[in-house]
This record gives sequence, C-alpha cells and structure tokens, in this order.
Amino acid sequence: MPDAKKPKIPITFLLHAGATLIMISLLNWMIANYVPFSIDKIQQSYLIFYYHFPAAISCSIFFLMVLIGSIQVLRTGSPAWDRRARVAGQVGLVACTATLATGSTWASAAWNTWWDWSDARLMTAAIMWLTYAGYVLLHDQIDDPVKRRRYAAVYGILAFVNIPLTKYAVEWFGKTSHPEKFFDSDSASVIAQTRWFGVIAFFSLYLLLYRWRLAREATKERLETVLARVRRIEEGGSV
Amino acid sequence: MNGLRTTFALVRWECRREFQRGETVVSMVLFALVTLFVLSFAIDPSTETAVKAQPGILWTVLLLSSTIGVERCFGRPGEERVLEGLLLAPVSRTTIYYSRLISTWIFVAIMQVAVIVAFLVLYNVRTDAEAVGIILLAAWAGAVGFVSLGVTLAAMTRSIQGGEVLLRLLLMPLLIPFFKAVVALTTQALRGWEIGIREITMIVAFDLVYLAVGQLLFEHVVADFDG
Repeated sequence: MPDAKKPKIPITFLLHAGATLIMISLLNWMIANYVPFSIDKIQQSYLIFYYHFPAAISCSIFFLMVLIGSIQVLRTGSPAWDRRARVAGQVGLVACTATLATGSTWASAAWNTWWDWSDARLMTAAIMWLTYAGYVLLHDQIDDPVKRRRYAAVYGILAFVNIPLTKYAVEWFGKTSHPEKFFDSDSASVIAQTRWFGVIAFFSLYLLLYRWRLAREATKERLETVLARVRRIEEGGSV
Repeated sequence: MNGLRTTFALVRWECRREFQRGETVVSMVLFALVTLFVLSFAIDPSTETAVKAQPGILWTVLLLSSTIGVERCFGRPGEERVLEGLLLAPVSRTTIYYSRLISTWIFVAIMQVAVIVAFLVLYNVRTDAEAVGIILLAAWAGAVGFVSLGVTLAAMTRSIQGGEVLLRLLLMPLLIPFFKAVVALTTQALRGWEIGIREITMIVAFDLVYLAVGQLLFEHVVADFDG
C-alpha cells in the first residue's frame, strides 16, 4: 500500500493566489495614494466603496452562476454542474455578506444609521442574502444526492426569479438614499479606474475561494461514493 | 378522462376530505386568531401606532397562517403520503399540480375571509364595504401566486427532515415582493385613498411569474419519483 501523501496544491492555483495578493495590495495602494481622499458631501467615508462595489458585482456574478448551474442540472442531471452551482451559491453568499457589511459600515458614517429599512438597494441585497442562505441550507438538509441536486436546482431558479420582483417591489414601495452620481467630479476617471480594478482584484479573490471550495467538494463527493461502496461490501453485497 | 375533468375530480375529492375533517382550514383560522391576539398584546390596538400598523398586522397574520395550508397540501407532512399516491395514479403531473393548487387555494381563500372579518371586528376597523372588497380581492389574487409557489416548495420539503421549518425559510423571502405590494394596497384601501396601479401590477406579475415557473419546476421536483 502506498504511503498517504500530502495532496499537492496545483501550480495554477498558487499562481492565481499570488496574482490576487498582488492585485489587492495594489488596490490598497491606489486607495491610499491614487484616488481623491475625500469627495463632496460624504467626505472620506466613500473610500469603503472600493471594497463595497467589487463585492456587489462579484455577488451578482456568482448568483448568476447559480442560475446557470441550476438550469444545467435540470437539463442534464449533471453532478458537476450541481457542484458548481452549490459552490457559487456559497461564495456568492460570502460576497453578499461582504456587500452588506461594507454598505452598513458606510451607512453608519454617511446616513448615521447602520440599517435603513427604506433603502431599496439595501433591502434587495438583504432579501437576496436570505434567499441564497435558504439555497445553501437546502443543500445541507437533503441526504439523497439525486434529490438534493434536483431540489436545490429548483430553488436556485426560484431565487433568481425573485430578484427582479423584489427589486421593483422595494423601488416602487420604498425610497432610495443610495448615492447615484457621486463620481461626477474632476477625478471621475481616476475613481472609475480604481473601482473597476477593484472589481478585477476582488473577483479574483472570490474566484480563488470558489476554486478551493470546488476542489474540496469534489473530494468530499468522491469520498462519499467510496464510503457508500465500502458499506455495501460490508453488508455482503456486490461491488 | 381528459385533464380538466380529472383535475376537478381531484379538487372535489380533496374538498370532500377537508369538509369531513375540517383540519386544514380550522388549523389555519385558529392559528391566525392566536397570532392576532399575540400581536394585540405586542402593539396595543387602541393606540395610533396600531392603527398605522393595521395593514401590516393583517398581512403578517394571513401570510403565516397561509403557510400552514400550503404545508399540508400533500396531507400532513410525515404522516400521509398523498403525493406518492397521486403519482402512482394514471394522471399527468400537470393535473396533480393544478388540482393541488386549486384545492389549496380554496382553503386559503376561505381562511382569508374568516380572518379578515375577525380582524375587522377585533381591531375595531371602521371602513366601508368597498375597501373590504378590495382587500379581499387582493388577498384572493395574491393567494394564486402564493399557492403556486407553495405547492412546488411543499412537494420538495415534505420528504426532508425538518422540512416544516425549511418550507417557511424558503418561502418567505420569495413572498416579499407580493407582501410589499399588498400591504401598500391595503393601506390605500383602509385610508380611502386611490388604489395605485403599481400595487396591482406587482400582484398580477407575482401571480403570473410563479404560476408559470411553479408548474414548470414542479415537474422537475417529482421527476425522479420511482414508487
């Protein structure tokens, strides 16, 4: 029997991690030295926006991936797509939490309240958080893999369908205090560059998280299959 | 037998079952009454705040107790295996879905009438018949989307351990758009304001979206059924 070896980390993963580290460091440098330190009305509190915006964009991308994965699961029944959708849901939930946390921190400085129940976008994000938390939880509660795949895919689609409805509901029956055009200043292009660079840097970080979880989930599923076979053999059945 | 006739036969069967036992409707109404009482202790109904919160109170109660009806649309979870029985019968999945949808909608609609009347009396709401009619219509209309969503989710959660809690967890966030619209509409009706077109649009959109998506996804939920 061969010795149990420590699993090797793939070189592409390490490169990805290194690139992410460099990009986030560079982003922090840009925030410290490149962008204007404060802008009209909201002063320097706006700096957290460079972390808030990438998290919000990443969260939307991952939730879209949940939808695509879910549709693929229902079409093909593929376990690989189920894994992708599930991990995208988990990472999207982390990004959504980061969005809410940074947004809430900023709100306490700018709106003088941690949580504004009437702000449309905050409410949409919060309800999205709740739906996807349900999605992640649903995966954990079903043991039968075929059922789990199908049920989670069904909810993955429902959760996405809910987003536009929620968006219009809170916009129509609430008000928004989200700053819309606060980059309309001389340094608009500097701010735009930095925030889109931030999106790349942070999406890379969330993607790293996604790849790590995906590899772990794949190992876990393989292990479960092996264990199920061992159990069958022990019970005297065939392999 | 064609689909429509089968659907109504199943609805009649379910209604007769309910009429004999009265279980679902009675549970829903009693639960709603208990919640109304609890809320009356939380927010004193004679104060100005409670008057402002009336639409919210009514709809919280209606939503919570409607969930009981949805939860039981395939019999008592964990005890009765109505869905399995139906799937074994020679009827299409669409027929199963619509028969459950209609029968559950009927029970929820009956409950809504009882609860709205109880609410008007207990909370001493002075309003006219027109406003009550609008609220009831909104409740019945909204129940279509609610139940179509609920039947699909209930078909999923009924076989899961701890599915009752999960059903509520999964259902509630999806109901927020409808809830927002219907509370706004009820406020307008009770205050005698003009009814907003956006509220009606949202309720209709909610119904249409979940009727379509609900039936489509229900077929996937029961697709792997193997006896």
